[in-house]
Amino acid sequence: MNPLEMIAALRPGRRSRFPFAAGLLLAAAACLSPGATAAGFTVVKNVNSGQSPVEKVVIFEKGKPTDHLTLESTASGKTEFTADGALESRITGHDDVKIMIRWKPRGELKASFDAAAYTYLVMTCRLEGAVKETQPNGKIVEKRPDNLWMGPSLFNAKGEAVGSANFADATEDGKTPAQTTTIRIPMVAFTFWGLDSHDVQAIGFTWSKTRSNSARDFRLVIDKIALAD
Amino acid sequence: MKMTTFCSGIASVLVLSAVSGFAEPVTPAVAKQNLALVPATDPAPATAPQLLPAVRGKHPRLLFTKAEIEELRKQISTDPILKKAYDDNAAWAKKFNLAKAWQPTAIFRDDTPAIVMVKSWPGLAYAYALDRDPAVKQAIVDILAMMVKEPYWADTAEFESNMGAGENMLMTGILFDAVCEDLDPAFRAQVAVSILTHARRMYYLGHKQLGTMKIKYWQQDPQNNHRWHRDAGLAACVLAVADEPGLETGFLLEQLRQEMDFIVKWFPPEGDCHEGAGYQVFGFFYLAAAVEMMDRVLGTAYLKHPGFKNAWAQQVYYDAPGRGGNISFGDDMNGAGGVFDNQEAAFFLGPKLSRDRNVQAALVRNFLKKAQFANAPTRAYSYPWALLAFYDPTVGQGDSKALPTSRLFPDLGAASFRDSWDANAVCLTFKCGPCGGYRLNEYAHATKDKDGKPHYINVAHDDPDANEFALGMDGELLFHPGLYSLRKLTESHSTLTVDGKGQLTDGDAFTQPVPDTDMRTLSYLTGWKAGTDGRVIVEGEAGVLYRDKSLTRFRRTAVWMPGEYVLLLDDIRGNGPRRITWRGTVEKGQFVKPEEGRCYAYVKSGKRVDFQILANREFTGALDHLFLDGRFGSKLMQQFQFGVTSETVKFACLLDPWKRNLAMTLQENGDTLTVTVRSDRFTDTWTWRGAKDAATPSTLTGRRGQAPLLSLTEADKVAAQPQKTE
Repeated sequence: MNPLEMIAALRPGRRSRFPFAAGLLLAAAACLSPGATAAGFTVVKNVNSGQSPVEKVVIFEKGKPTDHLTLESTASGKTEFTADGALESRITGHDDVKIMIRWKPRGELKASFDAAAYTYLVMTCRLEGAVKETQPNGKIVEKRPDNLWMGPSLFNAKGEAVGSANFADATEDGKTPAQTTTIRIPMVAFTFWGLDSHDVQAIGFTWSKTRSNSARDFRLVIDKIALAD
Repeated sequence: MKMTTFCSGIASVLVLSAVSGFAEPVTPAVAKQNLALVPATDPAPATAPQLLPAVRGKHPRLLFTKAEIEELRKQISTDPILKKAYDDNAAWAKKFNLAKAWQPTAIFRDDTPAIVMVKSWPGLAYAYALDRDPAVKQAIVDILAMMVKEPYWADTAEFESNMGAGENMLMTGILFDAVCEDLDPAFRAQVAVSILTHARRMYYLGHKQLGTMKIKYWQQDPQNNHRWHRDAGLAACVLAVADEPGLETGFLLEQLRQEMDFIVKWFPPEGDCHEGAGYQVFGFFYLAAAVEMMDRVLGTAYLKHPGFKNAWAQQVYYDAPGRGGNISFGDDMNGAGGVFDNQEAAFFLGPKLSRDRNVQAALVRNFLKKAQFANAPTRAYSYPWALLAFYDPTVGQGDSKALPTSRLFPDLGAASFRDSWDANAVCLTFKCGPCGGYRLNEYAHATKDKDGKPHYINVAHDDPDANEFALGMDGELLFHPGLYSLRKLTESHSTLTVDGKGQLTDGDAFTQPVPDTDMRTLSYLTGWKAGTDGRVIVEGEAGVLYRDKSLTRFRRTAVWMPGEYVLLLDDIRGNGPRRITWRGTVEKGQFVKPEEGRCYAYVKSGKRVDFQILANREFTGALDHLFLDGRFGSKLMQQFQFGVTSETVKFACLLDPWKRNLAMTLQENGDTLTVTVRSDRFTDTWTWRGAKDAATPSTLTGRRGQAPLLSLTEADKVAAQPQKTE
C-alpha cells in the first residue's frame, strides 16, 4: 500500500450529500411537448436572497442565564463569563488552544444537534489583540492575522473537533472582527471535510500550537452564539 | 470573501507530511541503516556515456560555457530584460552572506526551505561567471564548505533522497561547476567527493527505491514533478564531477542517461502538465535544467523533443486575463497575483528552441505583467537569475497578439479560448481529458506491473472535474476553476453530479487512479471544430465516469462565439431515473427571471456575467453556499445548482460575457433540439442532435439567418491519442 493509499484508508467515511432514496421517490420531471418551448426553472433555494438568516436555536446570549453551559479551556485559552454577562477567552502564548462550551438541553437547544440541519452558525463577537512575533534580529513585530488557523469549531461527545471554520469566513472584508460584529458562517464551512458532525455536543475554538517565536495575545469577546437557517 | 481554513484534519496532515518529507531528522540508527543500503562501489557500466570532447576537463559547462558567458555579457549590454536580470542578480550576489542567512541548515531538514531558499543560489554561478567578483566566489566557497561539512543533504525520513535533496544537489552541482577551476585543488577534490557521495545516495536510496522509507509516489511514473527535481539534482552532480580525477562515475552516468531517456520518452509532445499550470511551473524548470545539462555535457538530443518547444503554451493559454494568476484545472490556487520566479523563466526555453518571436513576445508580456503584480510598495520585484539561463534575446519579440486565441491541448483533453490577448479579455476553459492525460496513461498501459495490470501512475493533483468549464474576464474569475484542494470533489466544480455523487476519482485529498481501468475510456474529448472569426466548438464525453454506472452519457458541447456568446449544451442520459445536478461555481450569484432561466454571476468588483439556462425537462434552481478549500487559503463561494430527476435531460446554457442582451429559446422535436439565440444584431439557430454513440461527436448545425455559421459533424472527431514523440 503506498502512502496515499494509506491516507485514503484513514480518511473518514463521507456521507452522500444527496438523500438518494428521497431523490428516487421524486417523480420524473415532465418533458416538453413536441414543438413546445422550454421554460426556465423553479427556485428552491437562494442563499443570496438578501433575507437575514432566521435564528432557530440560541446557545449563548449575553445577559441571559448561563447555568446550562459548561466551559472548558486550555491554559492558553482561558475562558470565563465576564461581569457583564459576555463570554471572554484570553488567548496567550503559543501552545495549542482548545475552548469548549458544552450545554444541557434547554428549550430549543437539545442535547446535541446535526450540523447539516442548520444553514449558519451565528456569532456576535470581536477579537482584540495581535500575535507578537520575534524576528531573527530581535525585533518584535505585531501582526493582526485575519486568516487565523483557528476558529469556531464543532465538537462531538468525546470533545473531538468534527468541523472548524474561520472567523473571517463570513465577513465581507475577509477580516476577523475587531469590533463587535454578528457573523454568519455557513455550516458548509464546518461540514465540508466530511467528518461526522451529526451529533454535535459542544461549540468552541481550536488553534494549533505555533512557533516559539510567536506569542498570541488575544481577547475574544462573545455576545451570542446561535444556529440559524 | 477570502478565508483560510484550519487544518483539514488527519488526512491532509498526513498527506502533506508524506509528500513533503517529515521535518524531523532521522535517528542515527535510521541513517546508518539507510547508508548501509548504498553499496560501497558501483558495478561496471555496460556502456558508460562519454562526455563531449569540447567539455571534457573543462568548466563551466552545465548551464553555460566561458564562450557563452562572453556572448551573454554582450547581450546584457543591449537587452533590457537581461540587463535588469543581471543587475538584480549581481546586487543580490554581492550582498549574499551565508553566515547571515536565516537558518541555512534548514535546507537539510525539509523540502520547503530547500525549494524556497536554494533555488536562488545558482544565481551566484552567473554572478561569478560574469563579474569574477572575489566576494561572490567566497560566497560560493562558503556554501560548498557548508555542503561538505553537512553529512546529510536531506536529513529527513526520505533520507538523502527527498525533493529537497534534489534542490540541494542541483544548486551544489551548478556552483561547483562555476567555480571549480578557481578552487584550491584539495578543496575541489573534497567537494567533488562529497557531490558524488550524495549523488550515489540519491540514486540508490531514491531512484532505486532502496531507502527504508517506502514512499514511492515519485518513482512510479515519468511525469511526476517531484522526480524531475531529483533528476535535475542528480544530473547537476554527476555531470559536474564526471571527469574529476580519481572518481568512478561511469555507472552513475549510465544510469542517469537511462533515467533521462525514460523521462523524455514519456514527456508529452505538447509539454503540458496534467496537474495544471501551477504544477507545470513547479516541475518544468527542473526537467528543462536537467535536459539542458545532459545535452551540453553528454551530447544527448533531448531538447529536440517537441515538448520542450511547446511547454510554454499551457502557461500562456491558462494565464487569466488581467490578473497575475491562472485560470487552471488541477492543483492550482488560481490566485490573483503570482510571482514570476526562476521556475517560470524556464518556459523561455520554448521560443529559444523554436525561434518563434510571437511566443517570445507572449512570454515577455506575461512576465512583465506578473512583475507588475509582484512589485509591492515596500519591496521591489527582482528579476530571476534563470532568465539569464533560458531567455534568449536573439529570438526577438514579434507580436504576442498574433498567437491564435484558441488552443486545443490533446494530451490533456482540454482547450482554452479567449477573445483577445488584452487584459480585459474574456477567457473560457474546458476540460474533459483522462485523469493524468493521454501520454501518462499510455505509459501506464504500455508498462504493466508485476500482476500484469497497468502500471501505477501518480495523478494526485488531478481533479474529478471532467466536462468542467471556467470563465474569466478582465481580471476576475466569474465561473471559478477551483483551488488546490485537499478534498477533491466533483461537486466543487462546474460540471455535473448524479444522485449527489461525483466522478470515480472523487473524494480524495490526492487523487488516485481508477483501478483496473483504462482511464482514457472514461473521459475524453469527442469533437473539435474551428470556424471563422475565432469560433470553435469543442465537445467532451464523461458519462461512464460517474459512480454506480449511473450515466451512460454526459456529453457537453461548448460553442465559443467570441464577442457574441458562449453556448453550453449538455446531453445527459441515465441508467434509470437519476437526480442530475448541473453545477456552476461562482463567487456570488443571483437569479433574475427564473421563469425564463435568467441568472447572473458576479464578483465583489461588480463585474458580472449574465446567463440563461433552459432544459427539455422541468427543473429546479438553487443558489447555495460552496466551500472551496485550498491548501494555501480557502474561499467561501456560491454555486448555482440546477436539478432534475429524470432518465434523460438536455440543458442549454447561454453565457453573455460581452453583454449582448441575449435571449435563448429551446424547442424539442423528437431527438432534435433547436436552440435559438437572439440579440439585437443576429439570430442564430443551432440544430442539435445527440451523438449516436459514446465516441462520435454530436451533430450541431449553426446558422445565422439562412447563412451557415459553424457546424460540428460526426467527422469532426478529436484524435484520441496525441501525436507520437520522435
